Amino acid sequence: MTVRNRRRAPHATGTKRRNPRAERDINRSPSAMTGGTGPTGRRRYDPRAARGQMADSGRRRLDRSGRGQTVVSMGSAATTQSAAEPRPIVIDQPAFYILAVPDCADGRPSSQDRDILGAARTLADAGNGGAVVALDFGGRAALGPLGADRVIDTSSVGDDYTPETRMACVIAAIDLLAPAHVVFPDAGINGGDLARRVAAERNQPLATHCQRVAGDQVISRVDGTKSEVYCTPPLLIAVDAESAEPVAGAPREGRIIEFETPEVDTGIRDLGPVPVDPASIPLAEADFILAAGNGVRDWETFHELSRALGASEGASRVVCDAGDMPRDRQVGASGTIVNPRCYVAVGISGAPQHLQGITDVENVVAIDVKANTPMQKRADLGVVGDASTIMKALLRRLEAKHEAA
Amino acid sequence: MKPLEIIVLVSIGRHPVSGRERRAVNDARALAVARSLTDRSHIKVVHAGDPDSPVLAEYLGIGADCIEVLPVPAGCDVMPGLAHEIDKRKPDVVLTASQAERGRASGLLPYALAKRAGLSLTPGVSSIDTTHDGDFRIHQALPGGQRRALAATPPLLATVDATATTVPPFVYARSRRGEIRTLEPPAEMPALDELDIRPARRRPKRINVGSGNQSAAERLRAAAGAQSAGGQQIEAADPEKAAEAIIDFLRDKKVLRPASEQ
Ligand SMILES: Cc1cc2nc3c(=O)[nH]c(=O)nc-3n(C[C@H](O)[C@H](O)[C@H](O)COP(=O)(O)OP(=O)(O)OC[C@H]3O[C@@H](n4cnc5c(N)ncnc54)[C@H](O)[C@@H]3O)c2cc1C
Repeated sequence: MTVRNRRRAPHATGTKRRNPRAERDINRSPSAMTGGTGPTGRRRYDPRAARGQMADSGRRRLDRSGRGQTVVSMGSAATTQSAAEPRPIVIDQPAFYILAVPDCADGRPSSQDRDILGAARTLADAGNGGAVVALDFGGRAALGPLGADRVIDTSSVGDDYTPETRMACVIAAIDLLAPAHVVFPDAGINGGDLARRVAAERNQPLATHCQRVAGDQVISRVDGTKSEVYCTPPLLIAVDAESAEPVAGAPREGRIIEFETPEVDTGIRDLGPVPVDPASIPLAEADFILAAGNGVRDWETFHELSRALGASEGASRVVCDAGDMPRDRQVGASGTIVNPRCYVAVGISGAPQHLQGITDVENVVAIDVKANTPMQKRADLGVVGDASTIMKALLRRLEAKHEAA
Repeated sequence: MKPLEIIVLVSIGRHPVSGRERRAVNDARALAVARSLTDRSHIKVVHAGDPDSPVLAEYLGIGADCIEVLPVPAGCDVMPGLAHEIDKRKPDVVLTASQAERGRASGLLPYALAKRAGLSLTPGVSSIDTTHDGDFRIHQALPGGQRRALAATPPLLATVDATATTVPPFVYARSRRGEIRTLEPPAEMPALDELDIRPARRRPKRINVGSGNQSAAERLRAAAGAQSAGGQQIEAADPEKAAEAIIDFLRDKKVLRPASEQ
């Protein structure tokens, strides 16, 4: 066998010999060469130290967003900046106003509220020098960091359902500021209702179900979900969920504007919430779910606990297959996709098909004998222990509280 | 007490998958709510549009005795005609869906009607009851399956959505027996302005990519929707402690009312 094209050793041709190791060491950053010296006397390279320089998380990674770059180069600078509050942007003499009307349904801005403040910001910046004015029905909600240059405090309207009073507030704000656009979240009986009330009252066009908002164009969905209408932004704009981006970057000042809440006599009075049997709430709508998996044996305690907590019951597929729970209670890919405020999983391992059903859930509690199940990893609060014992302890506590009160 | 006079406004819907014309589900629910309030003879079902549509018979099949049709050609605004009809008949309640299933489907019609005819409007109604003093007691559907009670004075326009009562079953014989009556065309039928309508584009769902300081594994998990909460874990040697931690967690997230309120 002959090997052709074999390179001849460099020294044989008289050229200088290269030392590739030495060359590599020169290219390496000196601080990574902290691994001491090896048996041959050569300085050793410490890969972990090198990695530590790459990112704060200490892991090499491919980040195409470009954001990682700042982390790498500014390392310590970034941390000092976040420690000091970034200075808010101030617009003293706005060229025009954009009014945003977030729902702030339970006193704080929802994700859709953040989005519509972002949409209002887009409209204000597109016209050069516009200011976003937010109507704050929730009160005390910090709307400056969400992009509001000015805030009108209308929290005196209260938490009761008073759509006519809210409409009067929006109309009064329109009269006060003559905004170029008014942006609402198109959300059911809150923002969606308010936007349509204002549109009917003022006989103004309203772009409903907007999918995109830009300075020169809004895209509004019509015909169910089949078609879209492209138009120049009208005075009133109602934006669908997840159709705009929340404001990123420096906060705004959120200066309070003096405003007098108008008095209205309304035809509708709020009589307060109606107690609803949690068992009758469809799983997809439920606000609080106690779900059982294969780890639950003690069904009586489970049902008693769900009653005591006032939670709707859910189940994993195994449980439904076994007939311990009805099929309409199954959570997951082939069951119901749920979105409660809190999900308590008892004896559920957290198979991907089950986790797919709870992707949007904010607060998850897991009770399981094992500590390393996917559900435990997903949980905000994981409890390792026997389901039956813990359920009984919970019941005892809830009952004790009842008697004490 | 005088029986309630109710007008139910119905439209032509569209099946979300097959695209075929059908009864609009929420209009059918509005009819069911009306049936729960008063006798059938006091319910007027009104449609503005094509009197020859075969879909109208479906409303007969689910409990309407007669459907009155205001002949309004496509491309014209139905609002003035319907408002005039409401003015003329002075109903106690007008019921309709919160939004149509096809056409502009902006959900603005009930508001324009309520303004023009001087009705108070309540959206998202799941059920209505009458009280002895002539007011209505309304249950309004809130997110999370909750309900809120409202009191409203007539005349009232209530919109109904998917949370209202179930639709009564379709009875074929009824759909054949009922009557479809064409009314005089309304005096006012302004043409709707032309819109630049295009087929909807699918927009990607927004995914939570998170900040640049996450590991690839975390970003993948965030994109797949199962963000790691990085939560706290307790080994429950003592079940009482575990129970307390859970209850504190639930109170903190406001799903359980604090002990003082219970
Ligand atoms: C096509 C397809 C679709 C599917 N769709 C779904 C779906 O929609 N929804 C769904 O849920 N599943 C679905 N599955 C099934 C899924 O893959 C899992 O099999 C199922 O979710 C497991 O249910 P589990 O967690 O209750 O049971 P297991 O995986 O058996 O988990 C039981 C858990 O309970 C714990 N445990 C045992 N004893 C105790 C005790 N005494 N106290 C406390 N904990 C205890 C165990 O440690 C374990 O973690 C689907 C599967 C397929 C193939």
